[in-house]
Amino acid sequence: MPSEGRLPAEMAPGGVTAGTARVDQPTVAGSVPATEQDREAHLDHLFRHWTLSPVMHQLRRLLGAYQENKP
Amino acid sequence: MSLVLHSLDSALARVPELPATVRRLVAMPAEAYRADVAAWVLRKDSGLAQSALRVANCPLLGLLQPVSGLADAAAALGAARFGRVITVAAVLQQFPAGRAAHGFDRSGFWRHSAAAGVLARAMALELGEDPELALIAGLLHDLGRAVLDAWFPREFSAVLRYRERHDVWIGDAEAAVLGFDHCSVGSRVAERWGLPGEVRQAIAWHHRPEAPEGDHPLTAIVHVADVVVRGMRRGNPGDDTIPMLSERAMARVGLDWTMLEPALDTADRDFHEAVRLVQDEELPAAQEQVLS
Repeated sequence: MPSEGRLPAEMAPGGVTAGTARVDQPTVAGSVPATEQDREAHLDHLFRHWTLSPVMHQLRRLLGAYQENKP
Repeated sequence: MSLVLHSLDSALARVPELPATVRRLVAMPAEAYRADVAAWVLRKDSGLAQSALRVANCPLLGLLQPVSGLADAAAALGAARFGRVITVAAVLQQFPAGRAAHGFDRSGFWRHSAAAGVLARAMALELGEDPELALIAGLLHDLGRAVLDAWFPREFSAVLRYRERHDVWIGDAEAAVLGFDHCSVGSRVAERWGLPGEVRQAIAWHHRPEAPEGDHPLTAIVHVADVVVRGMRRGNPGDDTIPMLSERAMARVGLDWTMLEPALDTADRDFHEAVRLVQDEELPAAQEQVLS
C-alpha cells in the first residue's frame, strides 16, 4: 500500500490507541452520525492515519457532504 | 498451520473448487449455448439453481423483468451473462454465514462488499464501462479476505488481533502476519474459480491501481469504490481506517469529484438490493450495524 502522505501510527493525532474503534462493537444501527460534531469525529477517526494530501482532503469533503445530506 | 508466501499456493489447495456444474456451463461454447440445455444442467444442483435464479432476478444485473424459471433466465441473459450469474451464485454459496468464532463480522463484510459493488456499478454507468462486471468486481473485490476467514480461521484470527493491537489497515496486518495480503489470496482463488479476467485483475490490484499490472479501468473503479464506501458507513471491511485514494486511478478512468456525487446517490439507492444479493435477505435498516 502506498505510504505517501501517511503518518507513522505513533505520530497520528492521539497516538496509536487513541480513537481506535473496535470493529466488533456495533453502534446504533442504520445511519450516519446525527450531529455535525459526530460526523466530524467519525471522519477524524477514519482519516486519523493521514496527513491530508489534496486528494484525501477532497475525499474527506466529499464524504462530509454525503453524510450531511443523508436523511 | 502458518502461511508463508512460498506455500500460499499449496495452502490454497484446501479451498474447494466450484461445483462441476458451473465449470460445465461456463465452458459451454457460445455457439452451442441453448437456454433449455443450460437450465437442465443447472437443475442437477438444486441449491445452486435456486441461488442462480435469485442472482438472475437481481435488478442490478439487468434483467428488466423478473423470471420464475431457469430456462427463462438463461434465455433472457444469454450465454455470457448467464455464465456470470451462475459463477457469482456459486462463489457466494462457498462462504459461511453467521458469526465467526474469531469475531470477524461476516455480515458487515458482505455489506461492505455490496456497497463497493453498487458504487462501482454506479461509477461504471457514469463512465461508460460495463456495469455488471463492475458490480461483480466490487462484490468480490475482497474475496481473499472471505477465503482467509472461511478456510484459515486460526491465521485470520491472528491477523485480526494484530490489526486491533497496532491500529493499522487490515491489509498491512495481513502482510505483517502472513507475509501477503488478501489480494494475493483472492487473485489466486479467482483464477481457480474461473472468474472473468477483468474481475480477477480488480481483485488482485485494487489496492495498487497504479502498478502496471493494475492498469485497467475496472481496477481503478473498484479501487475508488472500496476507498469511498468506507466513509459511507456501509458495512465493515475488517477495520475502521481508510486507505490512500489514488488520484492517478481516478484520472485513469476520467473520474472527477463531480461525477462521484451522483454515483454515491445511485449507490445508496441500490445498496439494499445488493445486500439481498449477497445475504439472501434484506436486513431491516434499523438493525444494520455500522462501525462506531
